[in-house]
Parts: sequence; structure tokens; C-alpha cells
Amino acid sequence: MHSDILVKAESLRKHYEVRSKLLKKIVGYVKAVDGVDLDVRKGEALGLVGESGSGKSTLGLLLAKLIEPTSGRYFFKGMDVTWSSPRILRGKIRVVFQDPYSALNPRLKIKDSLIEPLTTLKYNDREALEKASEYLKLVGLSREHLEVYPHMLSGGQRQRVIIARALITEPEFIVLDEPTSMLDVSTQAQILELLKNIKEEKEITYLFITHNLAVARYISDTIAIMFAGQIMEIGDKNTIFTKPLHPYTRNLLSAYPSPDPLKPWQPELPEDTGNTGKRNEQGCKYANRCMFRRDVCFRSTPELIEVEKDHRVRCHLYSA
Amino acid sequence: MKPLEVRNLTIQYLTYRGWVDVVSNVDLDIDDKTEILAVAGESGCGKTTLGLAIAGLLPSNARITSGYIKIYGKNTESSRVAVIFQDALTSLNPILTIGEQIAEIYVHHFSMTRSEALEEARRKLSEVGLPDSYVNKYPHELSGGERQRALIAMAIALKPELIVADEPTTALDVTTQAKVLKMLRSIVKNQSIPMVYITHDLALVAHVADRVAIMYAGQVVEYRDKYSLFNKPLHPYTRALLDSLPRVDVEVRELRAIKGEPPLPGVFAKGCRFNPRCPQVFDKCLVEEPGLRAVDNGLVRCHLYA
Repeated sequence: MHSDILVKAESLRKHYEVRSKLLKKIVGYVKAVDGVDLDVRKGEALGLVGESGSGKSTLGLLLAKLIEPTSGRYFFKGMDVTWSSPRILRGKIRVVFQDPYSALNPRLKIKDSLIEPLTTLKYNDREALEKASEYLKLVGLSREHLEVYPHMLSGGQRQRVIIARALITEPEFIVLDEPTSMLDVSTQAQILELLKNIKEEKEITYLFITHNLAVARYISDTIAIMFAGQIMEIGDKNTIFTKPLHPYTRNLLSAYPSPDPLKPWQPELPEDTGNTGKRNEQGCKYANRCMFRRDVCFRSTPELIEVEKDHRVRCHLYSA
Repeated sequence: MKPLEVRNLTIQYLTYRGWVDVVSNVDLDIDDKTEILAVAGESGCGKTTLGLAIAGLLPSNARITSGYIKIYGKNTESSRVAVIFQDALTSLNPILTIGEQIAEIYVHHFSMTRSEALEEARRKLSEVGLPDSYVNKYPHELSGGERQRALIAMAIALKPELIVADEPTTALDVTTQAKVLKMLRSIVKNQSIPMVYITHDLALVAHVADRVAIMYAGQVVEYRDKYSLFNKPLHPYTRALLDSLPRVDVEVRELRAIKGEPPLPGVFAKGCRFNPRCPQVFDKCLVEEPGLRAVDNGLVRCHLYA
């Protein structure tokens, strides 16, 4: 294993049981995350992109160690932490969620929300408070905000507080799950700038989960495209945007309009076949929607293979 | 007669702070039956309230204090305006089939029999790209995109004079969004039903709309055809909005975020409402409110173009 790999997932799976209403017998599984292999290098921002239901948030929860996998292994700094308690990580992994309105306790002052994660670490009250104001400053707020309650802040300011609270334990890895999707564009731009600057300054590693490819292009170094619990394509940001290979990535990219009316918006979209909405269970999960599907796609599951350096694709079109 | 004429429209809401302006002195037009007018802006700018007013659906705690809305010369009460909202699941009745909900419209408005109405409902569903077997389905059996299509089928069932679509695809995935918007645009163009398209997404505006009104703090700050607006935005706010957009098609190295936050309704700066955040602010902006002036075949509310 490379020493610069901070986070490593090996065939990580999270299957949720579906039980019958009456007898509570297991009638099936929802395969939210279905065999993910992933390396995140130290200091890298990995953009995890997918549509709703792709399993991107579940993967985020797994990597944040907020839930345990059904199977697979998870290494953090080369150490197998799959089954170890999140406590031993001591604030080294932190999460920022989408909704800035529900992530702060309305009855706590901002300072109390901020110092709460420090209580398990070795800080006395004075040091904790000092740290709180230091981190508020880092995210563009000031000392006065220590004494206010969440309802007195705007959505953008709350998200700044939440980012400060994530940073205050000096984490090495932060999982950001759609941190700007509830914000307006001008506020989103401010938060994205902030996150980019902090990453450079503190050399933190990001897993940036988003459904928005434009946001992913701005913030990430590497992009992983997820569909139906699997990574379909992963590669360097420029490769993914200039030379996408997987049919799903190409469909997604074509669906995004550019804010330039002179650039044609011609989404290449799969025709409706009645079961396009359903994922294909045997073989390639994207087969029902794929424009290039062949018989083999319904028979065998393609592997995520390296087609060039740092560019891997899960598609039969590229398996020799 | 114009499909839509909004003049000097001011709308207030009653809040705990008293009556506050949510929409201030808005002028807008749709000149052509196949025109899509986009109203774009950030949350709280008044775009949804404007849309509700055009549809004649203002809540009881709102009042129009100046101006008027005319649809083909008539007021909103005597016009047929269809509305498409963001959340299809709350707009549809969960215990009626899609067919029954569309048929209802024909039974009530055109006194058709139930079977004639269902036949008509099938036709409307196929117009929005849904198989006619969907008349027997319930809303929960449909995907988000299909529900939005069903809602559009209901909206066009009455042959409305105008459609108001408020963030119609915001809850959908991008691939579904693309399909629904393409379909909506072709309905406007083929059936000559003009549309007011309300959204926060400027990239979509660039492709869906014909003309664009950018709103800030209850006012229209720029109102132009989309090609000139995106080619050369005039108002500093429009420019700032475009500069703060991350893009898929080109590499953006640095987002030039506008400082500050949009104001709360009714708590506007003296002079130009954008002055606290404007990078090109000068003395006049702090004291005098700019009017909408004709610049470069459009209207701009900014002292830079006096």
C-alpha cells in the first residue's frame, strides 16, 4: 500500500434487509453500497458523484465510520479500522451534512456547539473557547458569533459554523455530504471557496459527495461516478470531464447545460424502455438504461478495470 | 394583445414586522404566444410570489399595493393560468388515479362524460410522453419524473392561456430534468402556450428561456433576451451571479463569490438595494434608487447605465 493513501476501502458492502410486513421475514436486500474499492490519497479531494439512490451518502457514512459495513474492509492510514470503534479515531474523521438548519442544536449557543466535539479530547474550557473563536475566524465569522443561537444566523453562516465544528478537532479526513446543495449560488460560491482554501491551508483530505457535476468539477482533484452502489468510473478530474468513457458518465455530462445559450444542450439520453428506471440486478447495473448494451451486459458484471493510468472504468466496452 | 403584461407591481406580505415589500415595482411582458420568460434569482428575491400573483394564487396575508397584471388584457381572475410546482407529490391527490385527476378537469370544465374524459386524459398523457396505461396508476406508483409529467398533462389539459412553472424540475435528477424541460419547451412552442419559468438555475435558463428577468430583493434588476444577457450581462448582480457558477463545460479556477448575503424581505438598503454587495458601488448608489432604464435592447436597474 502506498504510504500516501489515507483512506482505503476494499469491496465495501452495505446491504439493508427488507422485511415482510407481517412476519418480519427477510424478503430481500437493498444493496446500497455493493462492492466499492476506493483509495483516497492524502490531501486529495475526491468528488463522489451520483444521482439520488446511487448509494453515495451510504458510502459517505461508511467512510465516516458512522455505520458498519455488511462486508469488506476499511483502512485508515494503513490501519484496519473496519470493526474498530470510531472512538479510537479521536476526531480524525469528521462529517458535514447537507442541511445547515438541522445540524445545529437550536438550544445551544454557537460556542457550545463548537466546543462540544472537544470534550472527549484533552482541552480545558479556556483552551476550548480559544480554539472555538480561532476556528470561527478561519471560516469567516467573528468572535461575536460565539454568543448567538443558530436561528440568528443565515443558512450560509450556519454552514460555516458546521464546517468550523468539523475542523475544530483537527481532522485528517472530512466527509462532506452535499454541503452546498441547500444554499443559493452566491452563498454556495462562498462556501466552496472557503472549503478549497481550508483544504490547501490545512492539508485535509475531502470526500465531497454531490449530485452536481459542476460543483464536483470545481472542488475535486479526482472524480468517482457512482451508480446503484458501485463505482462506474473513477479518474483524474480532467480525464473524467474531457474524456469520459463509461456510458453513464457520458449521459450524465450531456444532461448538464452550460450557462452559455450558444453551447448546444443536447442530452444524449437513453430511450425509455419501461424498465429504464430499474437497475439491472444480474450483470451490469446500468444495462437497462445503457445505449450500448449487449447480451454480455445482462450475463456478467463488469469489473472496475484500469484503462489508463489513474483512470478506471466498469464497463464491458473496455474490458479487452 | 400581449399574453402577459405586468406593470409597476408591488406585493406586500403581512409579517411580524408589519407589511413588508416582497415584490417592488415589477414590469414584465410576454409579447409572443410561444415565448418562455424566465424569472431567475436567489431565494427570497420574490420570484415565487410574483409567479403566484400571475396565477392569481396569492395567499391571504399578501396584498397588491400598486400596479396590475393583465393576461391578454384581462385580469388574473378571468384568465386561465396553469401552475406547475416543484413538488409533484404534494400537488397530486394520493387516493385518485392519474387518469381520474386529469379526467376530473374535463368533467368539471367541459361537462364531458366520465369515459370521454378518460379518453381525453389518455391523449394528454401521451402528449407528455407517458404511456396511456398510466391513467390507472396512482401517484405513488410513478417516479419523480413521471409525476412531474403527469402534472404537466394536468396543466395543459385546460388549454391554459399561460403556464407558470415554479422550479418544475428542481427535485429531479439531472437526466430526468433534461427530458422534462425539453418536453415542456416543445409544448410551449408547438401548442403556443406562453410560459413564465421561475428558477434559480441560470444554466437551465440559458437553454429553456427566450427572455430573462433577473430579480434581486423584490425588484427586476435586468430584463433582456437571453443571448444578450448571457453574452454581456450588464447589471453587476447578474455578472456576479454568472461568475459564482461552477461549470461542467469549462474549468473554473476561481469562483468570484459575491460578498455578503441577500437581504431579508423588506429590509433593503437605502438607494440601490444591491449597494451593500456591489463591487462597483459609488456615491449615487447609496442615496438614490435607480429606475429600470432601456439599455442595449433590454432594461437594467443600475446607475452605471444612467
